[in-house]
Parts: sequence; C-alpha cells; structure tokens
Amino acid sequence: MQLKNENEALILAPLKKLSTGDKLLWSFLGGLLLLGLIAYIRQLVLGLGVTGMNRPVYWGVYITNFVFFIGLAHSGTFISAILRVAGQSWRAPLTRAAEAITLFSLPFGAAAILADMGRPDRIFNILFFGRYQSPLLWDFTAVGLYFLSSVIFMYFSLLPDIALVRDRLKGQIPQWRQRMYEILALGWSGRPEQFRRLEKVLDGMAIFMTMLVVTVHTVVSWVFGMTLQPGWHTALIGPFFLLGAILSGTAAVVIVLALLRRVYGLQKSLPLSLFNSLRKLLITFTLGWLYMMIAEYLTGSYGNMVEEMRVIQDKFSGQYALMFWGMAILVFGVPLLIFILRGKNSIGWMVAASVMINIGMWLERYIVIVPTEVSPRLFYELAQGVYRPTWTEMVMTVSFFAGMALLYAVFTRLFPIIPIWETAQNLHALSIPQANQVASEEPAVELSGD
Amino acid sequence: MQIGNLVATFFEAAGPGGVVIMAVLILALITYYLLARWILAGGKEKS
Repeated sequence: MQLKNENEALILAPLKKLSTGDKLLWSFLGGLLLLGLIAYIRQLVLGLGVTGMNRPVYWGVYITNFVFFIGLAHSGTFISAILRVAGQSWRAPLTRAAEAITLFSLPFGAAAILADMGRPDRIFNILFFGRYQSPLLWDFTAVGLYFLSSVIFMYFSLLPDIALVRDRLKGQIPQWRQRMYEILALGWSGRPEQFRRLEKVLDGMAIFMTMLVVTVHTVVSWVFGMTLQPGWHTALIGPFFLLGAILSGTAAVVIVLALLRRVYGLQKSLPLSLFNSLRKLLITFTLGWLYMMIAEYLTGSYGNMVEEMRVIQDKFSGQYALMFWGMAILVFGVPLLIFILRGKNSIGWMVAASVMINIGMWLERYIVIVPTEVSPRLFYELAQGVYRPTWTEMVMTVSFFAGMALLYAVFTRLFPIIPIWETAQNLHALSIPQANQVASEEPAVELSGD
Repeated sequence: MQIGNLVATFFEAAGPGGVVIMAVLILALITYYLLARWILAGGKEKS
C-alpha cells in the first residue's frame, strides 16, 4: 500500500528550481537585514542613546517587537497543536506553513531583547545570577522551552516528507541538498509502525504545546503584570496578551497562506474553505479581544485611581489617542465588518483584514507598553517621560520583519510547505488501533518511488 | 509545615536561576531525543 497524495507533484515543484524572482526577493530582504545589522553595530558602539529610550521610558519599540513576534509565534502552535487536540482535520494543509511562522518569528522576538540590551553580553547573567522569583527568568525558561519544542514538533511532522523528498527528488537537486535530506531524514523508511508512533507522539506533543502556548504568552505578560505600574498590574493581563497573540498569529497565517497559494499555485491544496474556516476563528478572536479591552479599560477607569487615570486618559484623549483609536479601528472596527460583510469566499478581503489586524496589534503592543512608562506610578519622583522612536529602532524593526520573511522564503524552497503525508488521501488506512499488534517485517507502506 | 518551609525557601532564595532554565531545557532535550529514537525504531525486526 502506498500513501497517495494527488497534489504531491504540485507541492514538490517549488523545491526543484529557484526563480529569478526568488533571487531578487532574497537579495532585497537580505539587504534590509544587513541594514538592520549596521544599525545595531552602530548602536552597540555609540550606546543606547541612539534610541529614544531614556528615563523613565526604558522599554520602547524593541520590547514592542519582542511581544509582537512572540505573539506571532502562537499562530503555528494554535493551528497545528490546539486544532489537532480539538480534532479539526481541516487544519492539516495549514500546519507546516503555520509552524514555520512560529519557527521564524521566535528568534526575532529573542533578537529584539538582545537589541534592547546595551550590553548583550550580560544576557548570561540570567543563568548565573537569575532569581527564581523573577518574571524575566520565567520568561527566559518559557520562551526557550517553547522554541525548542516548536522546532522538535515541526521536525517530527516533517520527517516523512524529508524522506519523501530524499527519494523523489534524487538527481533533480544539487548534491549538497540531497545529502542534507539524507541526514535530516534520520533513516526514516515509512514503516506503518513508524507512522503510528509518530502520530501518537504528535498527539501527545500537541497537548503539551497547547499548555506551552498558554504558559508562554502569560509569562511574557507577567514581565509587565508583576510590576506595580498602572495599566500593567492587572490579573487580566495574561488572558489579554494571550488572546491578542492568538488573534495576530491567526491573521498572520491567513496572509502567509494567501501568498503561498498565489506564488506556488497551491489552489488545490489550500482551497477557499480553509480561509472560510479561518474567518470564523478570526471573528471569534476579534470579539474576544474586544471583550478583553472593554473589561480592562472599564475596570481601570471605574476605579478612578490617579495613576491609572493618567495613563487611560493619555490613551483615550491625550497624546496617544490617535494611536489608540487607530488601533481599535484596525484590530476590531474594520476587520469585523470585512469578515461579516465581505470576507466569506473572498481571500482578498480576508488578507486585507488580516494585514490591518497585524498592524493594529503591533500598535496595541506599543500602546500597552509606552504610555505606562511615560506616566509611571512614581510620577512625581520620575517625572513625565517622553519617548520618540529613532530611525535606529525603526530600521531594526523593519530588518526583523525582513529577516523573518527571508527565512520563511528560503524554507519554502527547501521543504514542502504543505504536509504531503498528512494530506494524503489514504492516510487513515495506516491506523491500526490495537497496541499489541506486531508490525510485519516488510514495510507495508512505501513513500519511496523505488 | 515541612512543605511550607520548602516553598518559602524556594521563593526567598537568591538563585542561581540558571539551574531552573538548564534543568527544564535539558530534560526537554533528553525527552525529545528518546521520543525520536522510539519513533524511528517502530516496526524494526526484533532480534
């Protein structure tokens, strides 16, 4: 019996040859990344004074990027792990594309922290001198574990397809790539028992990753929530950050899938129905995010505490009003209307709404972080802060996005972006539920074309 | 009360926090390595 995927040739086509467009794109993105590196080296030499950060605004655009990129990373885990646990089989074609977002956004989230440090060598202090009570230590642990687990989760699910590429594309790809696939395949031979064990491990890891998703972004939020600063010190900050992360991550998945569909001609593998399913999820998350915002600001403003009101008024009607209401329109107002009135059966409108959501969510992170520091709890001791991001921070931000896009683009040319084995039409024929059934010596399932 | 003292000590101790980080990551690495071996060994002929 052979696993059969009628779209296999289509899915493998991007791996065979690079186009001129790819080279131009990679050069452009690489150039932006290089610009970011130059800006960083300049910052390293001249010090953090080249940024807008100052006293009392110690965290600015870099930390906004940290929270945003960690939030984007939740897309992969949500699609591949949480929907897997929920038994939503429609998610199968999306899983790898979503997991790749996780894989390539997490490093830039971590890079944002390094960029934020005037002395990046001091990152090791958290290992040698970190206190168990520190949310920064919890953050380091949680994000580190999440990154490791995401890499492994993706690699495990990639194994059968790496073996397939190893066998199918022999002679059609450069020798170094053939060798790479041979090493990475770890000798996978497609035995039924291997598939069964793989499914079991992925099911178990999906549950673990679901817990990690909740843990990671909650712990990230506690870096803010465990302080006593107005607007941060609230029990709601964990779920607030988590829901925002899942919202921005799912919107990012829509954007990426639409691009892949268009660029690689994957209309059959990524049908319209997938986007309609994602649309329903996005409506739910957008409404959930609105609920969190109302709960957060109504509670804060009802209490009328001086420190809280200073920050809330800054956001509602002060110097951050344009950004705040712009964020509300971009994340909630316009996208919800699009989803309800135009989004069904329309990928273009879905992408437009998703782009707006992601821009709005970046602004939302900024709005959570900066106004509180500008008007901190020790207002009269520290005085009102001022923060204006400099070109250094903006160039670094652009280079983070470019870096993520570059890694993603290269990945799609090296590995099948749609899971071939998970979307095989006869995958269900592999399942043999009895645990004590001995697998036969000869492989009953072949992925190899030999 | 014994457990109470233990919890209190954990929350009051200075660290080093790296022990927690490394313990968690190394445990995860070992677990994933063993899982990978188990998956790949599936269906191999038993001697």
